[in-house]
Amino acid sequence: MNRVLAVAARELRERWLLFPAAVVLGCVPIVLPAFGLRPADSQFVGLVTAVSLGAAAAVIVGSSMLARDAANGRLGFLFSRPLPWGAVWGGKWLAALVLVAASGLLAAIPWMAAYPLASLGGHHGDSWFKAMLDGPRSLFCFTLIVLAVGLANFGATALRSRSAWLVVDGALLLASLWATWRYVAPLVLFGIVAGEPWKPVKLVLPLALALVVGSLAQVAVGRSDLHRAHRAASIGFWAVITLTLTLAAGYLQWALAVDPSQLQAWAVTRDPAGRWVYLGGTASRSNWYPHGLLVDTSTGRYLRRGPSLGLGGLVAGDSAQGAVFAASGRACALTGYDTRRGGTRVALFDLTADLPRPREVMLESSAPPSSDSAFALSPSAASLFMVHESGASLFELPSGRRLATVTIKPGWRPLVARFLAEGQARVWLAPSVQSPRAELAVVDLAVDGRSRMLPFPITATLTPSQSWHAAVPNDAGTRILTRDGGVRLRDAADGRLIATLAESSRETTAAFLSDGRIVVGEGNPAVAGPATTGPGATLTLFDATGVRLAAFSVPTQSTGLSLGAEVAPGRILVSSFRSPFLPEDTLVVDVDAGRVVERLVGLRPAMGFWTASAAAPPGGGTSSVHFFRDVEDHVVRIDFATGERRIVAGPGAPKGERLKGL
Amino acid sequence: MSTRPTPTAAQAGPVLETLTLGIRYGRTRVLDGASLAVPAGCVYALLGRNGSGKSSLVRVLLGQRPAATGSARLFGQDPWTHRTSLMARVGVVPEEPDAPPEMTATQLSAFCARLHARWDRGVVSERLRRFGVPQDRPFGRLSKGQKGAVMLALALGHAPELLLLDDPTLGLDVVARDAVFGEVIGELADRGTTVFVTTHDLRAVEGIADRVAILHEGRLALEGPLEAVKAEWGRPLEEIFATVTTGRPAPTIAVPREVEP
Repeated sequence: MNRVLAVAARELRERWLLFPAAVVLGCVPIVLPAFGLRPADSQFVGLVTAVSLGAAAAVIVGSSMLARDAANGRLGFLFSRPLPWGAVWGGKWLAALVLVAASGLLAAIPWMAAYPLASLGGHHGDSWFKAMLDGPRSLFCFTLIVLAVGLANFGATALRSRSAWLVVDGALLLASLWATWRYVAPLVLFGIVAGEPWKPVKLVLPLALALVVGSLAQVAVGRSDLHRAHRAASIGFWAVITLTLTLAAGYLQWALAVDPSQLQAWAVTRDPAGRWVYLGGTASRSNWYPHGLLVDTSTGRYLRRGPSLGLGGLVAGDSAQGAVFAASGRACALTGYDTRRGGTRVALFDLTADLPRPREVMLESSAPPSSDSAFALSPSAASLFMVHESGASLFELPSGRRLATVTIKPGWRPLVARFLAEGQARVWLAPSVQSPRAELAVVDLAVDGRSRMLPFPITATLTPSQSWHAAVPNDAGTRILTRDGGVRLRDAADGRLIATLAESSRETTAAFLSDGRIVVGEGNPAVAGPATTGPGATLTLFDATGVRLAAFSVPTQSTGLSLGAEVAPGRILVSSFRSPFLPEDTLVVDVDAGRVVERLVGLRPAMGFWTASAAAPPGGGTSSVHFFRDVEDHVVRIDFATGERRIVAGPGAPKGERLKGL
Repeated sequence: MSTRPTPTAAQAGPVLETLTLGIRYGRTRVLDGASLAVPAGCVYALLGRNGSGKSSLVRVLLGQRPAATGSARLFGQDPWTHRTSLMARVGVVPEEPDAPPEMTATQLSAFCARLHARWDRGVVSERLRRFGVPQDRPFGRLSKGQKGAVMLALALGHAPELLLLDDPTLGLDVVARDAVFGEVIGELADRGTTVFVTTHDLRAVEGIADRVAILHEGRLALEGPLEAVKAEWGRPLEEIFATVTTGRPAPTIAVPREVEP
């Protein structure tokens, strides 16, 4: 240790002028107000001065501590003494770190004395001392100092040696930049690496470590020979970088390699028959990364959607819209952002094949998808309907050729897109959140180019939360239920009011039955009663023209009341939603008998993605297969025709066989 | 030549030895197959023109770079792997004075005292005084001769068993050169220190060297006791050196290369 200190003391003696210079510079922000500068600006100048001086000191010290001495032949003086290389390395680094930290600190002390921390809005009260002892931040600053000194040393060594290894360094730099973009950036940008406030330290630590290892090799192997030192530093540095990038790549692959049993699904989109399901969700191993799995629930096979990377950006595994299925159940399309061309691309699957393989389709002259976009596949999957804020288009599949387009005036966003028939699509629009008004609109578009956009008035201005489900169409797309100050039945083609089904400011919900009848649910007023069931809800049955047929109460929570799918003719799901962390029961209600026929304990219907891009079941009938979630993040498939229950995602689900292709 | 102390039993083997030593810088071969041995108490002069590989050989002996082929030994140990312990027994005067320029001779002596287990500041100071070097002037502001004198004083401060001098008189005037070699001779007389000196100052070498070797184009062209070499060639060392290094045909040399007991 004495030898390390001897070397460090010599280094400090050589550069002692940095200390008084730092003190002088540190006083500059204090005297600046006397020259007319505002105190707030002086604070900024002080911070910039301290940081700049620290950075400059790092560059000066780092570039001279080994490289300059080796180039000038002065390292031989140390290496011809009984001084271990570790003492040379340790002494030089110790002095460098002290010089950089102390010069930055000395420049900051007058500024810190003049401007209390509280005046800068700090999170540590008025104590600079506490702020400096903040573990993650101080470690981050220390790592940055090591990084700056190490970079300066490595750069100076490489440049001074002027050896052929510079070419190797350049090539490896380009390769590592590519690998960083490919393997490290997704870890950060997709939220796979979490753990604030240590994340910044985790990100810079490997680079700092690589530079430290490089300088160790530089001294241990290169000693006083600059060329050897550069080569040794390069090998040491790039070895750590390569190892880090390899580990990052392995970690990324592992984090992305999620099977259905590891998924905590938060969105479920299913095909009309209920065989294929697209699950969006997260996994504990990958923190916030949004996974997307297309699962064949009949066999357990699944396809995993990986991230897309390109110069245009990074796109996670799910798409904002999940999957869209054809009404026939024969095809599925996963929409996503084409990072190379900036538009929308589609992975199209033939679900009837033994081994569904995606066919990548770039939609011609398309806008990039967003969470406000809506999609629909035609019944035979011959065309795709895409709607976004400024237009709706029909694209031929699998060519991706644009067949027809209609412009949507500003101030609208799509609610539900649906094919009325092959080659004929319709979308209902709501006012954008930025311009709320008592109005909806319908847009029709056909492959022959015929189109129209028709706004129509509604009774009340929709709140942002109401506007997400402002229009619920029937399977044929000929009627819609609007929730504008109640529940109203309207003609889907022009918005004409047919009947008002409910006039209520309470929780209301409504659904079409497959035979055209309508069920409206209203939460009952709060009354004293068991807390477990709440005040309950009233379901009212209407015929297809809006004539009231019957009404009855069901014992359920009224908060987040929802009428789900029809599981069998005349049997509908009734659920409520208070919190994702509270167990809820779902009721199967026979609307003809006016009673609950089954209680699904602890299950709630699994919801789809933000934009409803539903496909009606084949033939417009009901599907007996439905998906539910429980509070433990299981996705449960129930076939009401057979009574079969199966966990398809979450703990306990079969791992399944992964199909390659995505 | 002065009378030298007899080597002890522990020093009976060569203090410095190379065996088919090769040194390369990338693809450039600067030394190839050099074998030599320096017995304890010997003054060994390695001669060669500029670029002949003398300084590279010294760097290998100092453990500052490894041998490409063959081996080097100081006191029977590999200097690349045992550099730290060996440097406690070796004093070095490099070709270019390499001490930190901002430090004075006094500070340099104090610095070295922290690195060496035994260090005699008084001896260093006295030697510097004898050389007439200002001890409170930064090293970088000293003349070339003064720098060389400081380096020599520092090399002898811990009473080394082996003194390595890499062209110590390069660029020095005659007076300074004589002072350097005079000091070496004095040191030898005092302690019987083994000296290995690389130089092309042939006149100075003739007065002090026991053995001599000539490096030419990376190869050891001649090696043996100085007097035997001169007797064999029948010419002064300068002429022998010129003959060997200019490539003119040399007469057959029957000088034994082995170390004399």
